[in-house]
Amino acid sequence: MNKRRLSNSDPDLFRLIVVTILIFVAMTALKPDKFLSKANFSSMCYQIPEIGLYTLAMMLILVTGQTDISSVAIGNLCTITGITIMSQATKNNVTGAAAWLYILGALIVMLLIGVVCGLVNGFTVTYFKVPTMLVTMATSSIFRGIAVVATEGNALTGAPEELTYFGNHGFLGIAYAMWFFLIIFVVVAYLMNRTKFGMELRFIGSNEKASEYAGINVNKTLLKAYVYSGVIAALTGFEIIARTDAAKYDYGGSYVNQALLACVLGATNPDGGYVRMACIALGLASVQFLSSGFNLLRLGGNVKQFAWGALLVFVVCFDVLNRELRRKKAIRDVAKKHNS
Amino acid sequence: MKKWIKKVLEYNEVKLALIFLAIVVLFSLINPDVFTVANLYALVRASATNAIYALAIMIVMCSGAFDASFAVIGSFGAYVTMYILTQNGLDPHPAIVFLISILICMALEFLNWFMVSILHLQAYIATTGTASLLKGAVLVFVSTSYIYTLPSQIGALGKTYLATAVYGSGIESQLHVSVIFIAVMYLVMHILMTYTNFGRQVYAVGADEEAAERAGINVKRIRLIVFLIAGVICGVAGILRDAVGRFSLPNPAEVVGKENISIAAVILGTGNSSKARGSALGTLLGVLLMSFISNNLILIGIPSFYVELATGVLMYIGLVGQMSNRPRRHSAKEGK
Amino acid sequence: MSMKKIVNIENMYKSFFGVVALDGMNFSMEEGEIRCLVGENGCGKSTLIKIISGFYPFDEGKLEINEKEYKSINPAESIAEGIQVIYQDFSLFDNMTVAENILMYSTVAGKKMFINNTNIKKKAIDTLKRINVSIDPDAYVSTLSVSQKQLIAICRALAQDCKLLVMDEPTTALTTHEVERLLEIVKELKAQGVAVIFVSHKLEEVLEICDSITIMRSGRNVYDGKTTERILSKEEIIYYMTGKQFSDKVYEFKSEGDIPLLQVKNYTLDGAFEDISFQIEKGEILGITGILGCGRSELAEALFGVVPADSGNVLIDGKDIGIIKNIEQAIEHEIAYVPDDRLTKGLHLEQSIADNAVIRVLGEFASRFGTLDKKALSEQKTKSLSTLSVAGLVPDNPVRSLSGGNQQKICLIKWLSTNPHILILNCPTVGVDVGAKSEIHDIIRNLARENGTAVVVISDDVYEIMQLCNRVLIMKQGRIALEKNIADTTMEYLEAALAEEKTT
Repeated sequence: MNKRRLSNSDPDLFRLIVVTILIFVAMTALKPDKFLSKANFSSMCYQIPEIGLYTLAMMLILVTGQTDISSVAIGNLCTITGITIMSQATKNNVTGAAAWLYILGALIVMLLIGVVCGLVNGFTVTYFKVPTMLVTMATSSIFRGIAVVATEGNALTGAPEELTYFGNHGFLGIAYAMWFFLIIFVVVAYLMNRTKFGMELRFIGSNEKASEYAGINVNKTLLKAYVYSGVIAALTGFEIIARTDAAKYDYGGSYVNQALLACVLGATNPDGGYVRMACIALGLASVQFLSSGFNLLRLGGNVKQFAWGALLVFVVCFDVLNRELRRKKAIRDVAKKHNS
Repeated sequence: MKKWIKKVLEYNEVKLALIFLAIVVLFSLINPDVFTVANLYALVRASATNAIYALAIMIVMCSGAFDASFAVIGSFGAYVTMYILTQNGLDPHPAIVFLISILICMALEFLNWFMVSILHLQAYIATTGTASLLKGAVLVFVSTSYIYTLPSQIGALGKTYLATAVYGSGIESQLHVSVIFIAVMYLVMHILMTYTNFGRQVYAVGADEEAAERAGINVKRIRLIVFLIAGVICGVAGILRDAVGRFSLPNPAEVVGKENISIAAVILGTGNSSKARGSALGTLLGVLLMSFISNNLILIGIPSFYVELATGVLMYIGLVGQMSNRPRRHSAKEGK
Repeated sequence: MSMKKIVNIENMYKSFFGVVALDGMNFSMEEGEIRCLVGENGCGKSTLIKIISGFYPFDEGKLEINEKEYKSINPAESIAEGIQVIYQDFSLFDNMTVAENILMYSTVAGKKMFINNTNIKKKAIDTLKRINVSIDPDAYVSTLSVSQKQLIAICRALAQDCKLLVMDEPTTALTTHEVERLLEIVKELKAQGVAVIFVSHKLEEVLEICDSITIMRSGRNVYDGKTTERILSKEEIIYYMTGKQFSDKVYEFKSEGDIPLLQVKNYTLDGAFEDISFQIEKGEILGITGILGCGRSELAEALFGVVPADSGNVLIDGKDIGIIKNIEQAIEHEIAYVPDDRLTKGLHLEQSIADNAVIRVLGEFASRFGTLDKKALSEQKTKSLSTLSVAGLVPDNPVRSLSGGNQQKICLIKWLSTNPHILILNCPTVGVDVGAKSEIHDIIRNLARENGTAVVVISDDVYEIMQLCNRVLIMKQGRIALEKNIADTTMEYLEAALAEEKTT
């Protein structure tokens, strides 16, 4: 009875819970000893933050009905800048509080880059009214291009141990990276559900023109969304430095697809205007369970690539058909009422 | 006379051609080697694949849709074809090779059409899914190995040259046969888009789907043909890449992941804007511009890793430049 | 001799999203007949036309075209049967030239592989000549004005030989002179045996040339008759259209001699309107009307700051604030605006009814950091929606699930929760059924009477203005041509004034 009520009142959440449990059970059944092991869960804690943060960055724009594919490029540009600054500390043998000064300085510069990149995207989209997907395709080429030029295509390294310690250790049995992600997730969830900005962003996503007529400053709100997205990408860069102590212009290229998958799996409507943070969390969990499961089954990146694509196609098709069915049912209900 | 010049200058193609000329002159002044027949031949060779892929995405964008998977589809079709042929030791006529690849690509573009036109999915997201799916599928279900020995007849095509020229340094450069493919396909596409009923209907669908339907156009059918044509083009481009490169691999790095070069070319040729029509000529100029810059940066002393940046900047300029043509008060005056 | 029937429709039903658009419609047309189709906005006229043109499939009923029965028909088949439609929204292609647009339907219907561009241009020039207009055939449609676009849409229908020409409000943007030329062409077509359906609510221009008239209300025909046998009076037509007796009760307003709430002086926007001056007092309802393209919509949007004017002054409560530069400024001065197209400009169709109702007042529930007080907000939602009298309303359902009339009420409620001093309504009852229409009128009148809101109603429906306003302005080619108190004028006089080319 209770279950039925849940499935009726919140079908998206219900469906995702079922999907997540199914994946979890399937993976447990395939590799019971390893999937349920502590090692597996702690390794997941190190993997979720990166993909999770990029997912949040993408979600903020997907809510407006547009696709932003530049987050990973922004993130990499930030890691490269950040590690360049931080490695000065290592080079000069600076430790302790002084090293933290370098790290803090690097973080500020990275955040600034995130803001600037977000502004470039946002300005182009709002001022010239060009579809975000094309804009970010161009700007991610530019961001990546700058990163290539700056590093001549090489990987950089040399973050201070003070930072990398946090990237590879945990607190209360959970990785610091995971805590970092959880805090940002909560902030974003609060932003989307409990603030004027979040509500206005959803309004803009479902009808930009009507939002303008209702007195919402559309360009300002959109610009904010792009800046926030850039900032989250920069924070992702920070987390990547802490965990891997490396920066390369083409790191994590497949994250764009995974983030898109986590978003649509998490019931974000790609046409804009609808997002559920709980669903995003479950979507992320499902993607991670699958990913870890594949690793345990010794299925390589190719299988994952295939699976992500197949899932993305399946999920968007399913969503459309499902929405169509729901709409037809609603029409039938109204017609019934009308006739009676 | 002045009026005539003004009218000609309004055409995007003319503007683009002038920019192209200016860049050619600039580069030639820095390094005279740029302005040689030998270098032209090298340009043809380097831009052959992108030039043809650009046509595929151009026609899709003209119809108001998008395809993020064209390069993956082309590479998939070509690799699977080569794999089947070499596994079975077959060596058919090149026409057969092209045909097999084209059929595979058409089938895949049919899938894209189904998602975009029947299910009304967002084109970018759906085709990104297709691209990711195929990129993985070819490695999982077909093979991960490179095919270094192509069937000899298609291999021979890769070594067919029409002319030879010599750089000042004495190095030879040859005009590859793919120039004929480019010429023929662009000519056919130009005729198709400008002089046929079908081309006119593609532009109509791209401008306003509902108005097109009222005009008696079967929008779904037009889109289907558009995607199938894109499939044909991808099939040809895929095989041509293998022939020029003389080996086949599942996801060639200079094609897959470099889709933005072709897309940028189309955008520079105004395939994107709803107020202007993408044309084969504009696309060709866009491809030439992109290839010329990326091919010759090194000749004027700029390291090759600037290519990505240059691509991005050009694409950005193309996007922004096009939109600034729009009348400012457009939204207020067009109200019902 | 019995004439051949071009169209025959019997007992037609059609519904959208559970809303019934056609409810047992009967309709038939003979060769060479000119029929006037009359009805209020939203009575199903456009649906009927789109079924004939094959754009919408119908649910039930019988459709015969040229004495051939169709179970379903698509636009291509309809065009092949010789049916041409001039759509209200023109349906032109912005990325094509005038010539290409004019010949588009014939190009598609011709089914030829190749197109002859010189031939297309030649035919386009011929067609343009036929209705005496000079527009460059090589110009892109995106560069044309509204009235030029309407002329192109007419040319496109005339470019092809047809048996039935449907004109859905074909003259909304045209001047008297152009309308006269169009009517001449219609007469020529009649002589050639072409049947014409004329949808228009400017009855004078139509009644003089039509042979018969069909009046629709709520999705079915309520009157059919030949004009040769009996000419309906204005009052009778309105009775059939609305189902209510024509009432000449006027909204009464007594000036208290205060400073006018809103004064507009020499307001000018290049290419849209110029030198507009008027004032409105507390509790007044001012109507503004004029043909499409006369600048009425642009004026409304300029007063709300959507597209700011170039020069002029706005005085609010006697205080000069210059030009209203943007929407924020308009809202700051307590101006509210209900736009003309609720689907694209007014509502967030996929969002819930409750959220739509409170979108305007979100700011009042946000803290300094933008945090929303959820509890107070949900109380506001309940409060806002309580003014709406809809049976079985579910606040969490998307707005899409409501009927046109209720959607329009949500548009109004959204603004009323801010208690505006000045309310501008642009075509407030388009696509709204009769019942909801009078409810909306009541809401507006109460607002003016009880809250003292100054209301500006922009409408192309003179009858609506007569019912609702106490004063009216007629705009022509961007200027105010006439100002009248409703009590001192008649509907006939206003309609005649609208149709005149220039008022001296």
